[in-house]
Amino acid sequence: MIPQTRETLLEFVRTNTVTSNPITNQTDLIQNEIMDSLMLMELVLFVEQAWGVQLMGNDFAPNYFRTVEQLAQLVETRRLSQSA
Amino acid sequence: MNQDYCLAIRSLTKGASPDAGQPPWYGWEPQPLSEPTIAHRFLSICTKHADRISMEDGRGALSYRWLHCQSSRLAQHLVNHNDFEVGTHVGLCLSNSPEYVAAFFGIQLAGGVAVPIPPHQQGSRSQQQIGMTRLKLLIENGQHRTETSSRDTLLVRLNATTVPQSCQQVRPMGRLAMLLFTSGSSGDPKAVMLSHQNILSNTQSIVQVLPVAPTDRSLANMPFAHALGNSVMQTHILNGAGLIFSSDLLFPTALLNALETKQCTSLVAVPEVFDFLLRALGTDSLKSSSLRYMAVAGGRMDPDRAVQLADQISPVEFFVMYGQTEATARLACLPSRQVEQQADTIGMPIPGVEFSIRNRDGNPVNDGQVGTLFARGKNIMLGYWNDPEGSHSVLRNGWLNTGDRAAKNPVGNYTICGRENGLVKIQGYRFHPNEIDAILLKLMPDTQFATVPYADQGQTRLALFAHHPENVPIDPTELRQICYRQLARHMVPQLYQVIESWPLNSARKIDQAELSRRARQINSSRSYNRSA
Repeated sequence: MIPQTRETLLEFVRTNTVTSNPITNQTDLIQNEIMDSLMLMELVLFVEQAWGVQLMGNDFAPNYFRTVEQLAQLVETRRLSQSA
Repeated sequence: MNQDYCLAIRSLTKGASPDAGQPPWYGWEPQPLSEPTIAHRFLSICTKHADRISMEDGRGALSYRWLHCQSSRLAQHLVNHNDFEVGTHVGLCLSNSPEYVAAFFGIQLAGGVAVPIPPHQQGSRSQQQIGMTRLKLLIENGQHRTETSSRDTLLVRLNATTVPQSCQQVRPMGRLAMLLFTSGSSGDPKAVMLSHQNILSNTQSIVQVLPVAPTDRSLANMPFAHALGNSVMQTHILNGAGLIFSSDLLFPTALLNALETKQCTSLVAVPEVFDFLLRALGTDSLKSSSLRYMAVAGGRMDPDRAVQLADQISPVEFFVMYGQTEATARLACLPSRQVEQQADTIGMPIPGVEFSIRNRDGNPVNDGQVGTLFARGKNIMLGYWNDPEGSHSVLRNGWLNTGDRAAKNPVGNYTICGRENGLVKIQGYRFHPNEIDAILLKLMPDTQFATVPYADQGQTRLALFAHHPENVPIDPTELRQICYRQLARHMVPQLYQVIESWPLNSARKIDQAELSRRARQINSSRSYNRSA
């Protein structure tokens, strides 16, 4: 599931930002000023809508949102734990 | 001595056409000598609280003495600048930082008019703001400049240790202290003219309802170029309190961490920040050894969430505030002790402010009846810069038409019942959705657009509907990209929908309410179906 989750998130980020630099799974979204408060909010709502996971508490930390890869890992972890 | 603080004063007059003279309606008058200016208050505070911490960031703690020295140095450079005279509009294009604060009060000491230009916005928008307010000089961060100075740019290192004699007295200056950008009732951007009296009266009113003290350390997360952030900055500095700067504050866990590790005593923010804080807290209570209060302003917070947050942060107090840029910042406050019972209200006018609810004929309505909310006080703006017609449309005999519908309840608190003119507020920014349509129409003149607000989990979001009369295909993804490129970030719609025909109301106009309903439906249908 992770490759699919990763691709879906990557597509979302690419669609919802404008930058001349390519965005990959490892792109630092914070350092490249792609992540702002509105992008963060939209990503959280997108994750919750697309996969039905609830992000809470310490999930809202920079280390989960710095790259698409990190966010995909978080989504998969929450998805598995919340469906168990 | 810290060498890391540096400002760049850039001249914008090169190549500019000669000034055609003041616009026919300026609103500029000399400041009466009997009335204090921001500079008077600033000098008094710097003298009284010289050793107290004014600001703190990753580079260290800075005293009021430091702030006084650097603002004075900046003021001296401005006064000696060829493009500066009393009343000159000076732009401030800096993020929240000690440099911003030093520059702002430096402009005040010099007798200039401060014009904050948001640093992270499209260049075309900045150019528009610079042009419409006739900026002569622009102050930016000079930290990473390699050159010492150039013909157009003067670097000013903020490492002064004394205050020049010439800066120890306040110069005669104009009534106008600053211009703040906002959206007007028809959606076009406007520059609000704020006088020294506006700012001083509003800061003093605020400290009568919020427990601001010189010992305060407020986390400065709201942008200073915006009315709320500007108010937080001035309220604290002009009362001898401290401002704390930190990075990565857009993450609620980082924000909570900053509040604790930097021993912050207060946080003032827009509803979206507190919604995120609630998510980060989950069902846990806030544990803080230093926080005394939080306050929400710059938009409507869902009453249930306000009550929930007040409960979870208790005994830290939680205040609900209401205001607008045209009123300098804040107009009303719901005290912390009333939030549980009255969270659907904005409380009462703050000291020095009066409210009046009127019907369409301009006559006051009875308590409980809904009407248009008017406000009066020394904090009400002078008007919109270079826009007498726009100014007269909202200012009548000293009363400001807030554009909100409201009613007064039996205990004397006011409830906002909606907007008169379709303006929305997102992340503290007020604008009209048809601003978006107007921008897109210029780029795609054959396509029709309608942007409408819709509610999603207690927040206001935007949906853009598009229709081509000849049914030429429209790509929603391309529309989204255009919006990201052309619009301020907070104006970018979240939902894009191409429709075959417009729903019309009984007046044969586009049925905005129906579009909002469709947007909510589309948004809901995209939610994950747990039963699937």
